[in-house]
Amino acid sequence: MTIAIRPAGWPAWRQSRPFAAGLLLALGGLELICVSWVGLGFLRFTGTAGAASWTLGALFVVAGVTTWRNPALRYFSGVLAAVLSLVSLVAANLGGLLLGFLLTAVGSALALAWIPQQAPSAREEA
Amino acid sequence: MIKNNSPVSARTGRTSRTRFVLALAPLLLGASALLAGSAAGAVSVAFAGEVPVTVHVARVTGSGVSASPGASGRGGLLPALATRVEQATVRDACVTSTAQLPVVGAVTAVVRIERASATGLTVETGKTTAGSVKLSGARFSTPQRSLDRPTGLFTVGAQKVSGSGVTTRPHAFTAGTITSEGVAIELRRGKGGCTPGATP
Repeated sequence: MTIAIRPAGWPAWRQSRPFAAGLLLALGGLELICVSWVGLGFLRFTGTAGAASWTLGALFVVAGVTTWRNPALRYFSGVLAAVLSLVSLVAANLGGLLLGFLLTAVGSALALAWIPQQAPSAREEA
Repeated sequence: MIKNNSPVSARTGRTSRTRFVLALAPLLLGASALLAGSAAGAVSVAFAGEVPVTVHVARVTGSGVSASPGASGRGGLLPALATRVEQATVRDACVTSTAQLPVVGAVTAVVRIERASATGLTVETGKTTAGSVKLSGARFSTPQRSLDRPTGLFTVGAQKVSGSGVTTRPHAFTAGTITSEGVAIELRRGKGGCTPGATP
């Protein structure tokens, strides 16, 4: 007879995937867009860096959502985000004034460093 | 008491510190190389120009200068002075840009450049002030389609231009090549900027 206590709901969802990685990737992508957008307060595509900010930002958000929705693809989204974070440095307002680069770089590293484990209750019953 | 006989598929996860460091280190190394390359003029960094940028230059010299009024690139919404400089050199430049970010608030990026030179430079500016300007070989021309009424925009040009204490707010710029030396980048919270004429 064992007592199986496992987290449910929001904590279970959060712990079963690289949550912080996805969050940082999405935030970094939004920051890249915000730096390009908020500067004048209205939507503009200006030049290469303006388009790159939107493209890279959208890709970062997609990478973040992918790590949440499908943690098995975390290596793909992590490597993709790592490469794109370096691209954002030269193509998108110095990586969103460096802040977007830092968010996405740490997010991609967290995605690559996440290791799934069986819950303690699952190991006990195995 | 709860007995759970059903197969448990609950999975959790943890972050390996070793993997995190191994993943982050090459990224930071690559970023350092890119920033160093950018500071040395080997890598060009693209800015959208959506963030208001203010440039203070202690001393600027240029040759083959021509300027004419027009509209800036943002859908032609902003009047701007388009200036073409074949060869330009600036000393003790300070570029500040303040962005209003959500949550974080105002973040100001300050880039100080000891010396930079550019060729094929085109700058669209909305406002420019200068302490002193020296022109040599100046010319003024107005394109005319008919003898009675001049149409089109006028053009002011000079063979050589030198100025000091120049402050400008460029809307956009393009350049063939830009070479810079002594670049220092600083990020700070809040508004503000560099004092005109301040040395790095």
